[in-house]
Amino acid sequence: MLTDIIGSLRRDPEFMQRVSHWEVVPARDGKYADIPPGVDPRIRSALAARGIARIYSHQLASWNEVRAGRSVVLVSPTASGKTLAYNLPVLQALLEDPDARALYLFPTKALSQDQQSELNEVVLGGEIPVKVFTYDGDTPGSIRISARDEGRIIITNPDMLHTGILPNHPKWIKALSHLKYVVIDEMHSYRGVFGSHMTSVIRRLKRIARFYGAEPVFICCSATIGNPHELATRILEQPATLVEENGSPSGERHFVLYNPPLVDRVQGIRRSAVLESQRVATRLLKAGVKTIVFARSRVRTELIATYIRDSLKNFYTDNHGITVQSYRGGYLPNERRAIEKGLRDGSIQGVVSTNALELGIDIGGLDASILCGFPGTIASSWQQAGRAGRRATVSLSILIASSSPTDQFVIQHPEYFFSRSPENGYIDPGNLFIQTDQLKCAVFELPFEDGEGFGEGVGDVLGYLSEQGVVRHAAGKWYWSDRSYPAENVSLRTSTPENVVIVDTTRGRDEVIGEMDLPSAKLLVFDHAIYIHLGDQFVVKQLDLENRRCFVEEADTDYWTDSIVKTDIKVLAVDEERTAAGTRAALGDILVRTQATKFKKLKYHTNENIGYGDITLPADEMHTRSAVLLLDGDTAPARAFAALSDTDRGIVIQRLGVLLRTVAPVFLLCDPRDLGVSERVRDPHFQAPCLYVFDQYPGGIGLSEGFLANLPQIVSGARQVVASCPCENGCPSCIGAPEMPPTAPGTVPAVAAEHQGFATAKAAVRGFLDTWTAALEAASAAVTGR
Amino acid sequence: MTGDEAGVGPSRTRRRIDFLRPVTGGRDSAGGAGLTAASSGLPLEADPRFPDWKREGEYLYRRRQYFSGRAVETWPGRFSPEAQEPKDLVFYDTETTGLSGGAGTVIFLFGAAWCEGPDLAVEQLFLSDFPGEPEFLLAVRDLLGRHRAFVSFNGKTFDSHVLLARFRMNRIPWEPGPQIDLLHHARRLWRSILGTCSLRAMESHVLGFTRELDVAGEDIPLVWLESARTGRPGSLPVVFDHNVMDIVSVARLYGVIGGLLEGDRSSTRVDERALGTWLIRTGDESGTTVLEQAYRSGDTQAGIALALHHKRRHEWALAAAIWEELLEGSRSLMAAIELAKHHEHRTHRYETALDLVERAASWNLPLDTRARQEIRRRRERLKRKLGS
Repeated sequence: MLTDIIGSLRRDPEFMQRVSHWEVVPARDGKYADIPPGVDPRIRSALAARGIARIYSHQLASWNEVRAGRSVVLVSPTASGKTLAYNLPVLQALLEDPDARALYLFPTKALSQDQQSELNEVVLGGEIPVKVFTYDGDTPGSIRISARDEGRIIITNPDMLHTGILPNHPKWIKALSHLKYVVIDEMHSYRGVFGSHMTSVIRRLKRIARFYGAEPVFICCSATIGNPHELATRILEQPATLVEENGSPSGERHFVLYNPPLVDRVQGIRRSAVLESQRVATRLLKAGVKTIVFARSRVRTELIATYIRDSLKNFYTDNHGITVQSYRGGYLPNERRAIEKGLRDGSIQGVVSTNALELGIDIGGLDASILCGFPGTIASSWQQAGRAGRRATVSLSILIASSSPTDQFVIQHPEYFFSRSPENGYIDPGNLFIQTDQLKCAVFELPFEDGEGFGEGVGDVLGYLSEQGVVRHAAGKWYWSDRSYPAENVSLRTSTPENVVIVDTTRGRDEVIGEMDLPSAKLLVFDHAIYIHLGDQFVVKQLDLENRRCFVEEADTDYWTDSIVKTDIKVLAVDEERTAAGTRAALGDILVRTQATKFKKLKYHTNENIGYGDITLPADEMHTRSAVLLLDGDTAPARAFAALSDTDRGIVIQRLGVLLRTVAPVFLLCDPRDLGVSERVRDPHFQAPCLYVFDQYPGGIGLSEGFLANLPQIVSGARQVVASCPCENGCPSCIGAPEMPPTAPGTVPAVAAEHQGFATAKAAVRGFLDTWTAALEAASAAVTGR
Repeated sequence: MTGDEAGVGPSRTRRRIDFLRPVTGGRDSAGGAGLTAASSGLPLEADPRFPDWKREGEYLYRRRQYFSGRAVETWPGRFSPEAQEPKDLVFYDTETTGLSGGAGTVIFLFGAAWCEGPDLAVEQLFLSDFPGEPEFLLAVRDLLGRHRAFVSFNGKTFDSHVLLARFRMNRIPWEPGPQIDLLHHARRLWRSILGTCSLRAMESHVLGFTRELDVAGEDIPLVWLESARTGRPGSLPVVFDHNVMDIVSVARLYGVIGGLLEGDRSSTRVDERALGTWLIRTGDESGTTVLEQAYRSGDTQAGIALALHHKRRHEWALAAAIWEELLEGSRSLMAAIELAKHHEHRTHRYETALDLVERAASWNLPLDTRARQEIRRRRERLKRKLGS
């Protein structure tokens, strides 16, 4: 079936014309080992009941390490049996020692539920006397006490560990005193801010466990990323053995890079990735191929699902039996469970998802995956592609490029995509904001002794907290001295913990249909917005921010809405000014205010703009770190900039921002969304033409610093992109097209004045970058020549 | 009926309420409750900040006050089998540095009260700063260890958990004894009448007074944290007295509830149905009288409870009489079905039984499917029995 469609795609000249690369990864045989002799007969029979007679080599390797009391990091792609790799040694130890306990951490509640049912199968199926409890925000009060006192395996998430378990550790004395194993699954998701917090949460866990006399062994599982071992040891802050070899078999994999056709060669505009994904997915689904489509946003997820259903409706009657669902965060838990189940039992053949399904939620094997747009990282691309393919069958993944410069770079450089190792996961536990917040939580849990360690500079932070009055130093110890409960006010993730509940009020109904985090709600479910939920359209009647409710009514429109976001920046403090890549630059703290002020109505399928509306919502404020390029003074780029006409200056600095924002992530190994860019021809603070490149995280995660450190490579990379771009007057793949300037997604289309100047934009940017890089090369030649 | 023996109640309860008359005159510390502290007679170590407290350690202070009132002579063991006599009981309350609990919430003031002869002794332990917590907790453990059962208001949910957490965090072995949480009993007896059952509500509606000078609960942590930081007592004396008033109110409330159980219902209006049911559950037959009073004064739910009680005791005639009465005035499905069962299984008057079932069915009450099915089955069975 899939082999047939692969063949027919290969023979289709129209399709193949758009394929920039077709990679075939050969099938791989499994490497097996006997179940270790020490394994309890009850576990053996439970495994036998599930048809497992032998284990994979990596499962044995992890067993050996864990049994020897060493922490491990297991690198394991989807469907490689990582669950057994940790359940085997854990269950064995819990059977050997009736007091022993284990804690399992998953980044999402959905994954916890998945693991609970997986363990239930093993435990109940084989009559293994180990009680497993999920303890998270959804756990009813009546079960919490038995979970605490009787749970041998507690499944939870870092957020619950942080706000619920650690601050109440005396209630968990039984579990914590005998904590033998901590399993951290989906380790790779603890990157950036979340990962930096995670280091501290693990520090706190170890600190409390030590207080009760326990020293747990850690078992971490990570998807394939560039530095799984480094990330794990930075989070654990202790040695761990890397188990990298994967003994599970896999079928032949086809990975196709697909570039939608140009519809406007002059402007470099390609057919939309959304529409193209719908076409390809429809083709696969019609051929009986179970397909998952990954989209980069909630709105796109809903749009693609709707389009696929529409197109199937055109070809088939309703009873033809192809069911396609959308899947994303914000659906009600039972809706998500129903979709997962439908995918497992085959009653749903197609699903369109955000990266919510990229993680290890069990949805069974699908045949094909379509990535609508480059997911931003190589690691995510492989994770999403890995959703296709069962153990021994052929699978197909198609990356469909959008017009964005990063996508175009990836699609035109297949060698880059396939040879590049997946990104590194970076964390910065020393981030002062994170460390201060986490230290508050740690002091609340247990007073600090003078000299006790908790990352760098604990003494200074404690001193600061004591000045703030929330910590008190007395007789050699630091005590929490505030009536608040600090963990409540510290969120591990970037989004605020608060959610807006979406309420359907159609015809007097009063029914909660979904939820959304607060910052997204301001951008997506403002008054009069169109909200799509599982393919149904609603119009927002009122977003009640104070009560965290959004009232919607069923609607039948031919458009969707997109907000226009305005961002402005205020400099709070400049830490240093220096020269980077031959330009003046600064590094400091800024305040970013983001506000949606208008929205567009876009027609389905064509994306025609059919109207505007106003949004009146308060701004979001973020205090973060920023690099600033200062284009003044006696430097080569400043001179080149000064030589430009007034019109060109505005255009060059804005286009340069667009370009850098998409080129820099390649060097910083981050997502473009992690970076914010803002330009000012005359900056009121620096009194110079300025380009801000800032961390999109409160407090910053070191991207601004990295940006300046890598500036020479970023600038020459940017120049190369512009120079080699085949477009005439700028296109979405380099400095942005006139109709859709990507700096501020969704700004009002370029006005006529800008459009006139735009003919020279590419030449101007290119000229500017040529001068800059020439100066750079001359400088480095001078250094080398000496 | 056995309830008549409860008739000795009123005088006994009066005596309990006398609890609060001060033993000796003195500083009128807190107004409304009429609290008047007497010198404990214990030598005070000089600390100008806390003049009426005895300093026992670098951070530990103790003070004792007596309040007059006759101790409870006969003890209602049904509250707690462990407490056979008044001195087995300790009334307690804590003041903490936070209100949401958690490991960072510290107890800085612990108050306990118990009966000493005719008086109520109130002893308080005060922790002036964090480092003294271990010695403070040892003193708390010592104080609690002299009694068998702990009486509190909301202690089951809050105070006992914080206590346990503090002991665990200081590695001091301690097991909480049996807890009598008056909040639960208060809710049972007064929620239907008062709505809210806070200790303040109990004071104004049950104990008959309102506090004049007091500190809001959520401000208490601030008062102590400020004092620990500055070394000045600030408003702490108000917090100390607040704690005393709380404990004395807990003790008085215990007296009132004890009186209700003993049969004195003259002092305060309570939910008689709840009281009767509670008495019956504790094996006290006087509950029957209470339920009957409630029923006679118009509470049909009390009638249903009473009939159920008669039914359990196989006092069929008494039960049937109530069901019949209930059916005269109202559409009680339960009475109809119970009476139908009675006639079906005991008197074998199937026609009367069927008539009752038909009547109940004709009311078209909004029933769930199970109840509907049950009625249908009963009707069919009765028809069969009549047919044969």
